[in-house]
Amino acid sequence: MALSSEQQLELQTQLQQVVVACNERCLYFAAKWSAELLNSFATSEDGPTDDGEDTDIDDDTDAPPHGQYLNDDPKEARLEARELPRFFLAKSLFDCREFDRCAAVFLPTQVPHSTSSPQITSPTRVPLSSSQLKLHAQVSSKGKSVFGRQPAKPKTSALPKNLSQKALFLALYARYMSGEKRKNEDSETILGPADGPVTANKEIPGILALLEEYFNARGGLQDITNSQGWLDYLYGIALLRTKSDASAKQWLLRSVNLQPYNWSAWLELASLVGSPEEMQQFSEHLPRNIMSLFFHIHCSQELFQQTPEVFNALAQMESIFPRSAFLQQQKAMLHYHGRDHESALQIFDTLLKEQPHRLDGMEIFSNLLYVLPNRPKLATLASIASDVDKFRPETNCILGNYYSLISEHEKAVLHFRRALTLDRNFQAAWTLMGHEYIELKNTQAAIESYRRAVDTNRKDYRAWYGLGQGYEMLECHSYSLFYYQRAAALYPGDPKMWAAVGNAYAKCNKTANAIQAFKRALVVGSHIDTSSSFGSSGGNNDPLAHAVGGALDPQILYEIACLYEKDGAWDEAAAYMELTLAQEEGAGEEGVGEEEGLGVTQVTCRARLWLARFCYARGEWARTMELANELCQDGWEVEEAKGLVRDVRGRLALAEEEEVEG
Amino acid sequence: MARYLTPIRLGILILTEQYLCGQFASSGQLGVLSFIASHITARAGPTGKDGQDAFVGLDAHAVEILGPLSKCASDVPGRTAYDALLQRLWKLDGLDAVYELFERLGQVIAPGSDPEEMQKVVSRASPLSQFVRRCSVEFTRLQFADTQALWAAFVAWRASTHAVWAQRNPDAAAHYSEVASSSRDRPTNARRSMTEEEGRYVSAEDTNDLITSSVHHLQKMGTRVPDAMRRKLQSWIHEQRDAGVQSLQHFLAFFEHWRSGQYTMALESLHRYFDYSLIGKGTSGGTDNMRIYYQYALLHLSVLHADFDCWEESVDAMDECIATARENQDSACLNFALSWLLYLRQAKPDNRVSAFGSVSGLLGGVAGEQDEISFLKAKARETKHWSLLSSTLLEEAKLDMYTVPNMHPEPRSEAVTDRFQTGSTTKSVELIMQSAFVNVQHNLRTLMPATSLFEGAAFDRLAQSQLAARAHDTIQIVYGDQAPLSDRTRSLCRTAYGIAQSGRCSAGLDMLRAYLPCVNGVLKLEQRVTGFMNLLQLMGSLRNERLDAAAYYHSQLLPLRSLGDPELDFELDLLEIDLYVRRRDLDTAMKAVNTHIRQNEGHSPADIANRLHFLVLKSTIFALSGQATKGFSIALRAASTAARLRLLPTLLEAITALAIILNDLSEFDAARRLLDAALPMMIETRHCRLTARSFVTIGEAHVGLAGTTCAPDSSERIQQIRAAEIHVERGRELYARLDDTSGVLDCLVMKAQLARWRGDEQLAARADAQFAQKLRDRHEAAE
Repeated sequence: MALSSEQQLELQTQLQQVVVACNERCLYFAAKWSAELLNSFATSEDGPTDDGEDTDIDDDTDAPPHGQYLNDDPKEARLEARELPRFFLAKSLFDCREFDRCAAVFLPTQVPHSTSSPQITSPTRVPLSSSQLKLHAQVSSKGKSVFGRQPAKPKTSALPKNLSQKALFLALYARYMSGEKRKNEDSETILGPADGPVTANKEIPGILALLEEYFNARGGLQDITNSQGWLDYLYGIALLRTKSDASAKQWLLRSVNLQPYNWSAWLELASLVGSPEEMQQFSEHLPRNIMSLFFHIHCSQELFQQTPEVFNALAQMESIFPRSAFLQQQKAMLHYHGRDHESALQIFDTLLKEQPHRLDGMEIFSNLLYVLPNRPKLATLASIASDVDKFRPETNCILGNYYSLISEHEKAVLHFRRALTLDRNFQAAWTLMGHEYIELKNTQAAIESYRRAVDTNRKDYRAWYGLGQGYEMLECHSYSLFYYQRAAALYPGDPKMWAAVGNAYAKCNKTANAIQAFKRALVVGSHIDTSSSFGSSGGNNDPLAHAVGGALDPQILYEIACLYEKDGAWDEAAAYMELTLAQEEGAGEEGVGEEEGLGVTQVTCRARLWLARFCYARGEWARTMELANELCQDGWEVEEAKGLVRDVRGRLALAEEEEVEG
Repeated sequence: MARYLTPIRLGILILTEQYLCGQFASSGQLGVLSFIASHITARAGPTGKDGQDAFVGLDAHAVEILGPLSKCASDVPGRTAYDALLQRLWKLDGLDAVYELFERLGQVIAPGSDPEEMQKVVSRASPLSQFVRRCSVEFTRLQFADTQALWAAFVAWRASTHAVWAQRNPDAAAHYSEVASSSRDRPTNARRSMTEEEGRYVSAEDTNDLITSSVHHLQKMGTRVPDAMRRKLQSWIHEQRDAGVQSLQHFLAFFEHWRSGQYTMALESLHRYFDYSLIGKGTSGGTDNMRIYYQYALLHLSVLHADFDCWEESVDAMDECIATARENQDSACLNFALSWLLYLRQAKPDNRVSAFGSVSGLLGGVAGEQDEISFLKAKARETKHWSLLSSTLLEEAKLDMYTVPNMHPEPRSEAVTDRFQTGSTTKSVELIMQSAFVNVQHNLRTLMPATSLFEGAAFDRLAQSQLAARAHDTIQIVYGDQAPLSDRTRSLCRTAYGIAQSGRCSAGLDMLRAYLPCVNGVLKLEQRVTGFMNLLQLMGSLRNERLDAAAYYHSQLLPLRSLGDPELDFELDLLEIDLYVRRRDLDTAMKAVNTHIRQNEGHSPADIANRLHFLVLKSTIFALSGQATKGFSIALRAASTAARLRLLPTLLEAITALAIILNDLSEFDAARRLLDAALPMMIETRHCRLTARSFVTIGEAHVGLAGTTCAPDSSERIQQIRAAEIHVERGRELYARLDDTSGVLDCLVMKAQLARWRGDEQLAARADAQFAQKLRDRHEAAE
């Protein structure tokens, strides 16, 4: 859906305004994202209109954005004009990362509370009962609203009446940031005793209370007339941090409806989406604009939905923003999750070539290169990243991946830790660090890392899988089963997940479930198109005619066979063993077959041995001889095979003798 | 920056791997192995020239370093090991390839002592394996960014071989350039390649070694670091992050500033050096370590102060140093400090240095240098401090040379008289020989030139100028660059002065001029060389009777007196007096001589030879002023003392002066006989002027003999006159060689008169013509 030039112009103007607005509120990330988008329109259209447009835009952006855009409400405009000097001070202080001072510019009484964190906890917690009595009648039903009533006690000073929304937002956001900073400082070392949920952002209760009061005074959730959407966003994230997801969702939705171009709000919203169904529910409440499309694409990517609709949407957006690195990255990630490594690699390559200084999302690229594996490329990526900025979490993730690939797990852990020190919410690093700890056999640390990863992002199937792995190593099988199930539910397209589930079931002695899971893994993992009802294990002769030559994972086949054996279903077991053996050779005629088999592997040999014994037990001497001889040739379990051969020969000889005698 | 790994070592690692894979023909293997060995073995200590050589090529390009490999054959016919290596070198196509290389190398080394596994791989203890392991350990410890830098440096390093490699492997080269061009446009690459241009990649270890060896060199040779090298060093140091190196760097700066005469900067650098080393070392050792460093700091401080004539501070520092050293029972430092004290006292023979006389006081023994020296000698033997022993022996020899018996009349008369009989010069020669023996026995290279210097001086005193010249030549030719610069300069100045004395003033000047660049900005030595140059100029202009020029040079030389170099001072005094004499300003000359004699009396370790020389000069001045009889006893006394002390040059001077006086007293025969006896020795000294004067004096004596003893018109008389003529002619020749105009003129006048007396008008006319010519020349030169 290409936009008409007016539409595009309007979009550009809006984006420009939002960049300014975000910058004014110190929402740097959102500003960056919008600015990036602003610069990814097709260049060819920019060119000719440039000269004519330039002056217009200048006229528009310099004076009017402040006027038109922000000052829909004349009251707000008046307030903003009056507090302009103070606002400049606050903004500068925020830019210098003096958050407390910045907050104090507009909320002066908060100083004693915000400077020392213990003070704020004690007064809020202790007199809960007394403060509850003073609750206003109109307090909305937010779960944790009782928190932080205390700061609101001196009402007039807690929330100065004559503050513009912008000023209030900046002040509260500064408080939030200062709380985050303290939290980081108090957390100390990664995975240390103070790290994790133990240390929370201690400013949040105060912010919540203030905002609650503010919104209550203005008509609560439903009344959207006099809000710009920013404070709603802040309220949303504050609620999110206190784990009141439902209300957070409501407020964030309100925020994106009021202020659709705040990408940070969209991201927070996306983190609340747990499944495609939920996303469906969401879309009803979303505004109908370009941002919701971005949101849709992002969520789909996060939820591993590689449906054609998503790609369609992506293509549409690309037609508007052909130079958007964000879209490229989403596309590459979609391909990567869809195990289309080649196209993902290509997209990432071009992305890297076009924007070598952009490190966002490059840790996914390094994951991809790790999976492939492509060491030289990963090394190159690492050196580029390290040249750009040594102290970015992305860079350290890439380095960690590289060191992991060359089996230097200690160094890898070091780099992941460094990435986390730089940003504790960098979820990829948590997961990857978990992987490294698994490699180092440090199960406790691995589980904790995975746990933190899952806490940050509940949609990361690798972390769930890793948790399962960790518990499996600790031999807590039912736990591991639970986590494997979560992983498989999140990412049903990966046979490894199902195989893991199957294994876990088997460990828990649920053979039937295990077989089901393994069969699911077979289906998912098979390279052949299995639209037919193949998994139901009906007649496994004809439909399986083409399921040879490495089309199926012999390991899984073998596992299934073993499970059947355990169950006493001998025929099934034998059939699956045969199937395992069949993976050795190619599908077609020998020499002609385009698909080469896997050749002799350990698993197939084990299957062969099993079959030989099975045939022996059934008295099929010729087949036994054949299988055992093959085993001897392959040099696997030679002693056992020779024993079988000897035995069978002896029996055959005996039989002959008997025959002769007879 | 890596501590040990450099691109060169990476190259050697690749070569090692190839060697272990057997990629070289058996004929070439030995060459390859020795090439590897030459690069991986530890440097053979930073001594002298070898140490310097080891650093050559530290930052050379691959072509220069790997070039020698082209002599070895590889297993592919027609390709050398060089080609094979280049192929492998360029096969590394990225950072990852380096990691792979080290992974492979890790498998090369035998994991344990299992003999079966030893078959294939390198045993752990072999030098090759040590090298590989060291590199591997270093590599695993490298941060990623450092690895990147190493890789970038490696790419830059191998770039010089691209032409050779591309010629042999066109396909691979084409592929390479394709890949390179695609990655060139990365901005980060561009940024890095810019930094590469500036400096080469040198490991911290190499830099450290280099600085340590430079400091050793500076300390030993007393030279300065050449500019180019200093700049390079500076750039390498800036790339380091190590504090340990930092302190050494300041030490280097300290020597630099010291030599260039920047006293305050040197002081600053020294303090900085010790501050930083305390920071570096203090973390491990605590306060004990600090104390140990403290005394050495004081030692350096004292030496620095002394070198800049801050005697008070020097003495204070040295006293504290000795106290600290005793407290810490650091006998090496203590002995060294004591010997320094001894040296300083002798180097500065004036009353201010009385504080240096406290050596014996510190030791708690009886006062007296002899005791101190024997104490130091005993200590040196005890602690096997051979260099201390050798230098103490030299010190003793110097003392023996200088000894002025009548300076210590009261307490030590017995010892003094004892030494009179043995003769101080012989004793000192013996001591010098002892020192030389110790040097040779214990390979004390830095002291050998000093010993030779002393040897030369001793021979000079024995009027064996040939032998003395040999000793000085030894320093220049045999020790050459390995001799401390100050010793070399000293010997060269002496040689040049000797040459000038034997008449070739310009040759001496040329020699000094040619040497001047070698001094290389060491301020003191530079001053010394220029001082000697001025001295020679002064000497030359005096001989030419160009008195204005002489006065100019004299004024140029006057500031040198503040340098406190007794040798220079003495020569300057002599020439100064000569200048006065030539100006016919005998009063001033006499005054000057008397001042010098009185000055010399005041100080204990003053050279007696100097004093005698002045005495002789005094008598000469008396003779010139026509009061020869007044100088007789002085000359006689000087002669007898010089003879007793075997100070032959002074003795000869005295004899000549005596002969002149005898001539004056009409004791012609005595004068003639005296000079006849002395002449052979005089000629040996190559002291041209003295010899010339003796010849003329003999001639005069012959004339006198002819006038007094022979009958008129007898053949005897004619013979005497002939003899006189011959001697005068020889004197003229010598004067002419010296370019001494007034001498030549005198001789010509005498010659003409003698010829006239004999009636040989032709000869007389020729002499007259020569005289006129000479006068004209002189006027022209003056104009």
